[in-house]
Amino acid sequence: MFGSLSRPTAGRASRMLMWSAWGLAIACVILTMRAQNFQITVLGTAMVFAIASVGVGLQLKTLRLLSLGQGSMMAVGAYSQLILAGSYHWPFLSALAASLLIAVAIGSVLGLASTRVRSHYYILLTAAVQAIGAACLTGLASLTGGAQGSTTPSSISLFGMHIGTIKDLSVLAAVVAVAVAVLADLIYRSALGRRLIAAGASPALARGSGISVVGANICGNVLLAFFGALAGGLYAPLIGYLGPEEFALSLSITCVLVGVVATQWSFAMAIVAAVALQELTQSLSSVGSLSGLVYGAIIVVVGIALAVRVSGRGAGLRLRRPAASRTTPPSRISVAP
Amino acid sequence: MVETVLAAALIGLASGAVYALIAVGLSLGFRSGGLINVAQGDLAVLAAYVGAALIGAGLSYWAAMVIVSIGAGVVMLGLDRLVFRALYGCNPVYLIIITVGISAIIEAAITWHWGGNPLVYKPALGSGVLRVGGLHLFVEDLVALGICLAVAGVLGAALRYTSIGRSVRAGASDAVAAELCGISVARARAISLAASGVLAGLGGMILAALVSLYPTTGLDITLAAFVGAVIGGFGSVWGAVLGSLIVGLVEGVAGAYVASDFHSVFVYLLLGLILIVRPAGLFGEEGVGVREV
Repeated sequence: MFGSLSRPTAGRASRMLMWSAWGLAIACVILTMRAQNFQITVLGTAMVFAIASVGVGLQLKTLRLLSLGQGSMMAVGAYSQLILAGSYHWPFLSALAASLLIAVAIGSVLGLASTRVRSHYYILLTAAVQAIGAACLTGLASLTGGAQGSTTPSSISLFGMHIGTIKDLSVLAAVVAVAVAVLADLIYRSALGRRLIAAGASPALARGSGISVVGANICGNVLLAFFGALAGGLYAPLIGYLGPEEFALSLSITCVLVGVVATQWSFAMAIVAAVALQELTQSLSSVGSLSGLVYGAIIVVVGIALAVRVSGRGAGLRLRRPAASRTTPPSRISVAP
Repeated sequence: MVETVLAAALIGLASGAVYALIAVGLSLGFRSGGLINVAQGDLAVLAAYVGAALIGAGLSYWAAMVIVSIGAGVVMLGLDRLVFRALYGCNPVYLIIITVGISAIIEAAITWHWGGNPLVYKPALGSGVLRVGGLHLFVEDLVALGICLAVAGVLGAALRYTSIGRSVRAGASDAVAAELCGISVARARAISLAASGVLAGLGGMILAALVSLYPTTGLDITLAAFVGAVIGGFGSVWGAVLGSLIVGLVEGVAGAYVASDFHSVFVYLLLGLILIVRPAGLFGEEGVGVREV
C-alpha cells in the first residue's frame, strides 16, 4: 500500500541534502546544549521524540509499514523506569535493559503478525497495541499509579556519572538521538537494510532471492520497539512524572509525523522535525485556544508539501502506485523517473 | 443474568450502529480513492455540536439532523475539491497525515467555539423503557439502531441499484476500466466522499443523543469505526456494518462485567484475532492490503 516515500534524486544532490539535514540536526543539538530554563525541557523532549520517531521512520522507509503504537513502546521504557528503578531501586541501565527486552519481545510478536497483516490492517493492529497499552496504564493502578500517574526518579547514574539536572538529561537525550539517527542511516544502507527494503517492497521476490521475509519483519518491528523503549527510558527521568495521558494516541501520531519527515533525505531529519514541532507547539501555546487550528493547518500544509514533493506533481511526475493502482485513472498513470 | 447481558448487548448494539455509519463512510472513502480519513469521527462530533447550536436556535432535532448531515457532506465535497482530488494517487501515508491535520483543526475549532465542556442532548430519539419479558429496553437505543440500519440499507441499495451507485462501485472496483467505460472516476470519488460526510453528520447527531460527546471524542469514534470496518472487511459496506455491530456488542457486554478501563481491550483482542486468522476481515477481498505468507 505504501510506496516509496522519498523522491529519487541524483547522487550528488542526494548527498548534499543528506549533509544539509545533518547540519541542521547538529545545530539542533548545539541549541539543546546551550539552551536555558524552560527551553531545555522543550528541546530535551524533542530529542526523546526524535529517538522514537527514527524507529517509525526506519520501519516506514524499509518495510513500508506505518505504526501507530510507538506511544505504547515508549510507555514500556518509561514505566519500566518507574517500576523497576523507582519501586525496586534497580540501576538505570538495568531497568533500561529490562524494558528493551520487553519491547523486543513485543516487537517480535508484532513482527510475526506483520507477515500476515499489512498496510492499513497493520496500522490498526498497532493502534490496538496502543489502546491496550493505554488501558493497562490506567487499569493496573497498583503498578503504574493509574490515571493519577506517579513520580519517577529524576536523576540517573550512568557508568559512575551522576546525571541529575534536566540540562544533563536533555544533553544525554540529544547525544542518544544523534547516535540513533546515525545507526538508522547505517542500517538503511547496510545489507540488513536492503533485506528489509526488499521484504517491504515485494515479499514474494524477496523470498525468491533467499531473504527470510518473516525474519525481516521481525527485525524491523524489533528495531521499532527498541527505539521506542529507549526513548521512553530517557523520557521518564526527563519529565519526572508519568501519567497515561503522556503516552496517548496523540504521542504515536506525533511520532508518525516526525517519522515521515525522517524518511526524507536522512534520519537526522527526525531531530530537526521533532525540534521544529516542539518549538511550534510551545510558540502556539501563547496563542491560546487557536493554537490547535494553526497546528492542524501546519500539519495539512506539511502533508500536502511532502505529497507534492515526493510525487513530483509540480514537475508533471507521479509516483508509481503499488498493487492497489487499480484505483488510479489512466490520466494519472505515468512513469517515475 | 441473561437479562443483564441482553440489555447491555442492546446498548452496545445502538453504539455499534452509530459506529457503523462512520465505518461505512470510512469504507467509501477508502474504496473510492484509498483515503483513510482520520477526521471522520471529528466531523461527526462537529456535526453534533453544530446540531446542538441549531436546536438551541429553535430548530427541531430532526431538522437539525438533516441540515448538519447535508452540511457535513458539503464539507467533505469541499475537502475533496480543494485537497484530496489533486493528491489521489500519491502515497496514502501523506493523505493520512493531511487528515490528521484536518482532525486537529476540527477538534481545535470545536474547543475554541464551544469550549471543552461535554455536549449533552435532551432526549431526542424518544424516552422511556420498553419492557419485553424480563428485559428493560431503552427506546432511544432501539430508535438509533433502527435509523442506522435503515440508512445503511438505503445506502447499500443505492450503491447497488442506482446509476450513480453503480458508477461509484465501478470507480472503486477498477478505476481504469471505469474511465474507459466513460465513467468519471473523479465524480464518483466526490460522491463517495460527500456520502461519507453525510453519514458522519448523521452518526454524530445520533451518537450525541445517546452519550455525552467531548471535542476530543472524534479520534476514539474514528478508531472504533475503523476497527468495525476492518473486522467486517475494509471497503465492504455490509462488512463495515456487521463489524461495527460486533464492536458495539463486545463493548456493551464487556461493559457489564469488566472495569471500564478494560472495555476496549476485548474489542482489540478480537480485532487482533480476526486479523491474524482472516487478515482481510469477515467480508473483505483476499489480497487487498494483505500479504500471503
